[in-house]
Amino acid sequence: MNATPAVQLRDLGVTYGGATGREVLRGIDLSIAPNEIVCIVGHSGIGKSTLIRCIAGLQRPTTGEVLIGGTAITAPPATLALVSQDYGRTLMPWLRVGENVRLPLRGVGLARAVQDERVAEALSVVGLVEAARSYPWQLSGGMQQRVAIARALAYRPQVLLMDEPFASVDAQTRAELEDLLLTLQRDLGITVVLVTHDVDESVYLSDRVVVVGGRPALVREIVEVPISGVRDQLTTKADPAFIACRTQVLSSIQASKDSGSAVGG
Amino acid sequence: MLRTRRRQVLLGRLLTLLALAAGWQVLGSSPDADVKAVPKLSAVLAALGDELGTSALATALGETLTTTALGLVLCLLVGIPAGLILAAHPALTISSRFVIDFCRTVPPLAVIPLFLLLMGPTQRMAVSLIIAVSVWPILLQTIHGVRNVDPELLSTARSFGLPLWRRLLFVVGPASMPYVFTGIRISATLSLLLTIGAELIAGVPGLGKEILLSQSVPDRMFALITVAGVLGMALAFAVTAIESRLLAWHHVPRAAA
Repeated sequence: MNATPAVQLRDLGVTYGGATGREVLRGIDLSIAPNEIVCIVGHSGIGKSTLIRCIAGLQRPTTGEVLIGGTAITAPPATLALVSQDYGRTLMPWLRVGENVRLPLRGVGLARAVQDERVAEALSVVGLVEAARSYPWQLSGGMQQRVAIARALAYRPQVLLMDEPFASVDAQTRAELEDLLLTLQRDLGITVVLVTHDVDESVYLSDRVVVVGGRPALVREIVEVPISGVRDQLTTKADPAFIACRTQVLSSIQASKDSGSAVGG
Repeated sequence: MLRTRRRQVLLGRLLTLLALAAGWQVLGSSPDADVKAVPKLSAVLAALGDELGTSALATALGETLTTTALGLVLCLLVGIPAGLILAAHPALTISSRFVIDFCRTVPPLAVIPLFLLLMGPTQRMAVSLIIAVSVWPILLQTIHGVRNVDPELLSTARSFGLPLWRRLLFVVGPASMPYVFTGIRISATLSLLLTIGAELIAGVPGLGKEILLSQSVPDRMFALITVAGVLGMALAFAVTAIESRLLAWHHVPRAAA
């Protein structure tokens, strides 16, 4: 395994509204290895989305830095793709599904035939080959989110960032998408950083779960998930190791809430 | 079912048209001195038939259309880029706002004498007038459109490393199109109005000037007014047709919802 972390956060902090403003994140240190899948969990509104926007290079942290593949970033790096919660708002409504997937591939010096190949491949991976000629608004929510995932995959990122990617789809679709993500991550060997408020989801997907909490939010605990091999919705979620991790993450989140109120904002 | 309904609508419209035509004919035949100036429909149609045979109408129509089209295209070429620049930063939008509001509320026909004085009764004058007046709706709608582009779409494009010009061309451009098209619709109607106005008031060659010249020949004047009316309707339909084709992605989901 490569010695350079795929993603590294050094003393990252974000304060909105200048020095006297609201401090959202403080002193976040985190190192994520290549091929690792890490979930960041915490209460809603704690600053998880801010954190992932910083990692994506969409927002400059107030303090500290983000390193992708060992290099400090100041703009969205080329090796990274982002899938966000509002899938409906990230797909271009005037482009057909295939063209949406193609959009990031245009203008990076890829031949048209190569683009076609990548688009077809990504769509077949998420099971949407038939939908290539449809418009996003003709598809269900779960299908739209699969298009957003396909677009990220076609881009062949080394790091895939996901901000609450399955939050607005139904439970059945959510389980399917979780398994799809695990399969893809294993097959393609990409690093995944996923933000969620769902504890079960975080433990099910992760190699490590990072609990953030408090105001300002700090890293409260990093929980290793000692489940090896292929995971599946039924047996993994009944595994004692899964349940132990889940309890640990849950209590850590609750503790962070208590200590957060003790700090008093 | 749908076809029957459509046929009924069409039949209704045809009957309305016939009723109006009959009304006109009766009015034109009236011996009342006050309505003497209104020629009979049949006489107007005959005059229109005569006009269609001559090249004068075709020339005038061509001039009017060229002026309108030239003016509108220049409005697009000026208004859209200017709107993009003014929308780039809230400070620019806010500080330019009152100037735009002032310019767009000046009654359009009031400035015709000024332009006539500066440029004489030429096509150049009519085109300049159109730019001075119809550029504002397009400019304003472009600013609105750009400022209303969903920030999520822009974040997505940025996260994939699309350079600025690609974001403008492939994201901001299409996303602001629905707003811009509202501006185009208003400007197109305004452009034709200004063209005819400049021709009628200032004597720029075209349909309006022909109408002015035929004041003593009511049959011909009414025929030309009818042509101007049809032209206005055709222009509005054309813009709407282009819009519904280009913006199907915008209209269909809303209709379905």
